[in-house]
Amino acid sequence: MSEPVNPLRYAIVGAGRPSIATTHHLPAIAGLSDYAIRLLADINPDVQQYAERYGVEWTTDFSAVLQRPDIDVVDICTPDYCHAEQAIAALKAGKHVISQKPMALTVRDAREMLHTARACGRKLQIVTALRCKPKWTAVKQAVASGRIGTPRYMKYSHHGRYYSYEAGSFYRRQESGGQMIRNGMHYIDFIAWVMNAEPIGVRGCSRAHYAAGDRMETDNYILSNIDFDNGSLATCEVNMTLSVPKHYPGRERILVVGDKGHVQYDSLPDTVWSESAEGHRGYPLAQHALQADPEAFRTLFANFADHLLRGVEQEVPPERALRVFETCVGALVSSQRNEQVPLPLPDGWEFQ
Amino acid sequence: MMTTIGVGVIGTGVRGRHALEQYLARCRNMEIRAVAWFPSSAPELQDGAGRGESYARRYAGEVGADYAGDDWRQLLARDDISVVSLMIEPDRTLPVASEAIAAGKHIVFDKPMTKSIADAEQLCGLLDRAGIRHIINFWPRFLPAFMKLKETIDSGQIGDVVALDVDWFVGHGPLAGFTASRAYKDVYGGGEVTTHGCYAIDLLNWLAGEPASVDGSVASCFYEDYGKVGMESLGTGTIRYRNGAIGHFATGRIPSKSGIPIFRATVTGEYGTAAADASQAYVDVYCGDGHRKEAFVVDPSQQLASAFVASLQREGDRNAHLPGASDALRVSKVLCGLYEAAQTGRTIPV
Repeated sequence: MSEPVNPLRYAIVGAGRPSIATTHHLPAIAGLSDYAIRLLADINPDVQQYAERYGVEWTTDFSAVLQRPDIDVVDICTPDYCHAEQAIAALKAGKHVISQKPMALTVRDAREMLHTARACGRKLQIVTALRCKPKWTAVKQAVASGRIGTPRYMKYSHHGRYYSYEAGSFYRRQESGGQMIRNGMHYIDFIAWVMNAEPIGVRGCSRAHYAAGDRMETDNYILSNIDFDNGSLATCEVNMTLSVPKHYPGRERILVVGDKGHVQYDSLPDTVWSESAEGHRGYPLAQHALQADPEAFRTLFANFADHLLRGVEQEVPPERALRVFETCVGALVSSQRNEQVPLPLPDGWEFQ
Repeated sequence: MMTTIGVGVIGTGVRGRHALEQYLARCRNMEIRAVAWFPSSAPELQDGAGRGESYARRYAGEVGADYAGDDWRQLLARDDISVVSLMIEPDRTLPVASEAIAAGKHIVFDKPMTKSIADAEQLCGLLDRAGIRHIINFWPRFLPAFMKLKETIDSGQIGDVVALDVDWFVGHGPLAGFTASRAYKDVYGGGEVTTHGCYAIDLLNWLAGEPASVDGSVASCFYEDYGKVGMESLGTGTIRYRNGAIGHFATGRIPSKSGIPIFRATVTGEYGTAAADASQAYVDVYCGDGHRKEAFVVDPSQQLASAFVASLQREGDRNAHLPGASDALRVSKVLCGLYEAAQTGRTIPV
């Protein structure tokens, strides 16, 4: 297989409607001179209009993407249940792969992605770009500066409104894994990055609480307590139970306790407060905490290009992504088994 | 004219440092009448700050009380003492408290009330049968922000509790003169998860209800002396409640010198969320001259003591809103379960 050329010839799959592919991946890639967008793909023929915006080719056939010798990198932004199969196929076809989170829906598939990348001599990048968001980078920098010493405990809390997927959506079903699988990699990756340590065990506890008249099969409150290889601890609270009142501000809070001090972040102060006959009311300025920042994606994709073209170390190597994913799965498994689970997970341990 | 109520103090060592009797004495018609030194089970538990017998004698003089030496039974025999402030090692509370109960004395306990669940259960039974009035020093319930949080939940405006968490961290490292020891760990049952986790667990129980199971982790990561004896400086716990609520706490004694403790609680209910920051001792005032912050004095220990004194001076049942032995028992069950969970990795039924 040939070495990648500069710029990297890039194709994206899942770019046929407004989605993370069209709103964030494409704009980010388009701004990087190390990439040249060549091909957009989606089973939805509306992909044509997006391709025309970028002046590139399009296709509704995934296999056609893999057969193109002039494509170096395939970016997978299809539904979660497609990630593993398509990533493995692309790697075997000699492509380097970028894949949206979650890495897969099973630990077995996630491990197979990594194994395939190694066996084929190709590179794999799982997109946990939110660690590149300025506020999270600021927390990391505050910790990495050494002012608070070695971080020994971290708590990340995300309180928000669950996304009410349309009836019949895969993401309403138990097999999707719910929020911890869909978005958990962002939080766990962020925590492990700040703590500069590897998760080696996790305890999970979860439950479901939905507004009257709505119900999904998945739990929308997940609490994970993580043990790290250096003896440190962390807590990740994903609380997506908020449903009322309307415009209620979601909230992100971070606490990092070190052996010389601590760091805190609270998104709530980013709020306009009004005092009136209705009382003391808050109107959040902060956008939804998980709203992606194109700049964050650009940073991650730039690093991947540097890795492919110049041998620069990957910021989020696939081995780290796999451990992060297993921590997410482990939290759900732990909740079901009522006990702490080790990481890496024993073979066959998957969420039910 | 109201009769002055006499208070007897048993114990002035490490735990006597936080003694509630000083708050009792600030209440009208309350007076500390005697102080008894309670020899610690090990010299190192007498605390490096000189809290031995000479300190107890000096303390008695400072508060204007008789000094009973180590003869605490002499104190229990006094007719002019009707309340005992029992600030002794938790693994020795039961026998002393039993005699105080038999002598008809009301009791103020520190936390943890006992080391073992069995002792706590026995003590609950003795207190109930004797009708003795008592409180446990769970003063965080009287922090204004947490009182407001409780009121918000009880009002029903956010519905039943779905999930809740408490962050309880105290800074500036270990208390001056304190050195961790195996004796301390043996007597108290643990380190800072016992010392501060008691408060966090009681808050969670108070807000959420009856605990059903617990799991947790502890870590000894800040102080060399703690590490040498396997005493934890921080820990986390997850409590599942019988009503389905999930509670979480993180606690510890941390090196941070910010001067502002981390005392926070957030409750997610069926219909909304309430979050309290009890370390904020000010209110935001918006008026003609703009926005300013006005500080207020927060003295939850005094509020707890005053509420107890009011209950003593009132006929009828003990004030059910005061933290008592059954609350302490509930905390002990969670604590013991948490340490077992930390060792085994299993979730422990409570």
